Amino acid sequence: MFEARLVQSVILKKVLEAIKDLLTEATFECSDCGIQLQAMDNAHVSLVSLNLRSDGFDKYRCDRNLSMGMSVPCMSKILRCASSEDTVTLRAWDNPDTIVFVFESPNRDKISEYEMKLINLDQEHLGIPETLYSCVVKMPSQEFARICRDLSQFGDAMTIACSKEGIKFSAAGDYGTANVKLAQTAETENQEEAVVVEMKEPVKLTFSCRYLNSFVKATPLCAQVQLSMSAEVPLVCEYQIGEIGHIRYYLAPKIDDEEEN
Amino acid sequence: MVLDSLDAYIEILSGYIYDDDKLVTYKWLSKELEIHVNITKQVLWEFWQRYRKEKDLEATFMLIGYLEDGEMRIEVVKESHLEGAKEKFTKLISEHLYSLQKTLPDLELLAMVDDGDCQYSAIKCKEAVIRSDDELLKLRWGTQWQKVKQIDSDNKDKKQVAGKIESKAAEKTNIFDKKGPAGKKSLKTQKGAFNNFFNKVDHQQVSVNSTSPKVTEKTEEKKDGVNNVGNNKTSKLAKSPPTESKNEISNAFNSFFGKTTGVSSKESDSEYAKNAVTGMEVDSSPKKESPSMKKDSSMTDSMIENNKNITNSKKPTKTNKSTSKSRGKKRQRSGGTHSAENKRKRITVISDSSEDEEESQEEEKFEEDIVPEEVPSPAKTTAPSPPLVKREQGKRKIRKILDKTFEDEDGYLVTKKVSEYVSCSDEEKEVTEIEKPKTVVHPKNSKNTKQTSIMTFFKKS
Repeated sequence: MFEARLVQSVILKKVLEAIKDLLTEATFECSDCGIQLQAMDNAHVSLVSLNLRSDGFDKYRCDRNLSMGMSVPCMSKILRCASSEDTVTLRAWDNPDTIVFVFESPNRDKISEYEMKLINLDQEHLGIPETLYSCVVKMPSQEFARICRDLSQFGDAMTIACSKEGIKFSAAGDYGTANVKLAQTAETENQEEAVVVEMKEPVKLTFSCRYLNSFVKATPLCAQVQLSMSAEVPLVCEYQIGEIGHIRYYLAPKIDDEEEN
Repeated sequence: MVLDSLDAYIEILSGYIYDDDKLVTYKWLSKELEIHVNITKQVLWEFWQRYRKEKDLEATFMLIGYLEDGEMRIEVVKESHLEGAKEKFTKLISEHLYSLQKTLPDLELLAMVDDGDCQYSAIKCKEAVIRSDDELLKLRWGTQWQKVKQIDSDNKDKKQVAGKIESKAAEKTNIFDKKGPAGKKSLKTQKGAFNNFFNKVDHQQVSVNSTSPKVTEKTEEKKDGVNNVGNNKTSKLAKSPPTESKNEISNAFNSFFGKTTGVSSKESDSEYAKNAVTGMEVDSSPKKESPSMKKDSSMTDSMIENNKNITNSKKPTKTNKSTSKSRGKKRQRSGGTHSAENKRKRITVISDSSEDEEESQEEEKFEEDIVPEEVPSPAKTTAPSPPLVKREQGKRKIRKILDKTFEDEDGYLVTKKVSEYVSCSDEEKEVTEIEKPKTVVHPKNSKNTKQTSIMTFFKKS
């Protein structure tokens, strides 16, 4: 039997908001350690990796490892039925074909149960190599969201260049060009507002704005976002999910066409 | 012809004539309607039959036939002069409507009508090409241009492209433009100028109206038309088929050209035409030296005088002694009037070749004897107009001047510049080359970058 209880259902709601733009179906791997999800978007350009540790849950029980294929839009609908204050409990039997979402109001006078059919999904688990990134930038997630939104108006692609001074976002298109530079902030400042660049060597990569705009849907989860980049490897865009876990987005860079040919 | 399409054509034609005030020649109409010239002739005829009584409609006819002396003649006449014109012919080969229009004060106005399209022409042979401005110039202003060309070709042979000469040529051309009222430019480019020309010279016509059949097309088809204008303007002027003057002229020409061209002087009357024509053609032979040019002009002047005396023409005598006038006259004689221009231009090449052979032959002799003197007026070597291009059986063909070598009847090797339609494979490629849209994964991307897949970085575990 599998049972996971989370007092703050709002976290789960936000997680679903953060992945529903990219994914339509996803397999939730439930184990003793917690719930993990890894899925690519349909175009196989980005990858979402979600990790919710078992100790982050208020109550967690997983007798057997389960792989539950779920429709993300359906799950999102169900989670929308929960109030922010509700407590959510996920419950499934061994070898399940359904999963039950139980929402309890804070004073327990309202209990809602939603049962969702599971779907069979092909397992497409990718091994993500451990990488030491050339640049790791921590910055306010809202700032990042804002930059992505602004620059996507100028071009389909955004170039992120990272140097000692800071991080530069630029986009070029038919209307013109846009450049946003963020300098490293002093350490004394508020940590949530800090821009911290840990750099081994400068990096300049180009990414599709469309995917970045999907990633920043995770902004409500965390005040800070961490961008990890190395030349010619995917960008990692990581948001912490409270004390429970994290969600990581991997985005393949755009490369010059000539090089490819 | 399908009847309703005929009606449609007639409606369109009516629009051209009455709404747009156009002078509709059958050639132009064939181009506009994209139908064969013979059909346009029928359309014009049908239209004329229907509306000649009701509306203002003036027609011109084209007559082709043989004269009493066996010479061939092509003529465009107004309806009012049709009968009179027909009487001149002993045998009429062809008679059809040339053009329809509301009013036609001057027959020459027809020359301003746009050309037809050889695609719809009834004449289909490789010689039937519209001459370039350059060629026309050469024909019309033989000596000077020919000389220049000769020199130029000499230079070319030595691989010395004479930029100097060319620049000189340009200058000279300008000078000529100033000198001659008619200018040295071609009909096509200077229609306006040509009109001036006609206004000025129609009083000093020399009625050269016949040619030998061989060179038929070269002579002016519209001499009568010109005369008609004269009639209109000086109403008292009688129709003047000045046979006497012909003789005079031909004799004059004979005496003049006999020596230089080496064309054996034949009996005058039938021969005159030949000479009259060669007058212009021989002109173009390089033999002509500048003194002879002078002679020529003086001769023409005297001819004009003769003509006047003999025909007792009542035309007001204007000052026509200047070289420019005589040049104008010569030009008129050789160039002819314009409405016939297309036809003439097409066919001339045949007759030309024989002439050219003679010419080139003579050229050779000439070159032996005389060292080519400094040319006063080198001509432009390049055609002013872009190369003519036509489509034939789907292939693009371009008109090029090619050097062709052949043996003439005397066994001389003659190299001649011949303009031919050559299929141009290079340009063909240009046309057919269609840019294939590149297969880019993200075509929107302006930076020409390609989105990679995450799968290339993370392998399935």
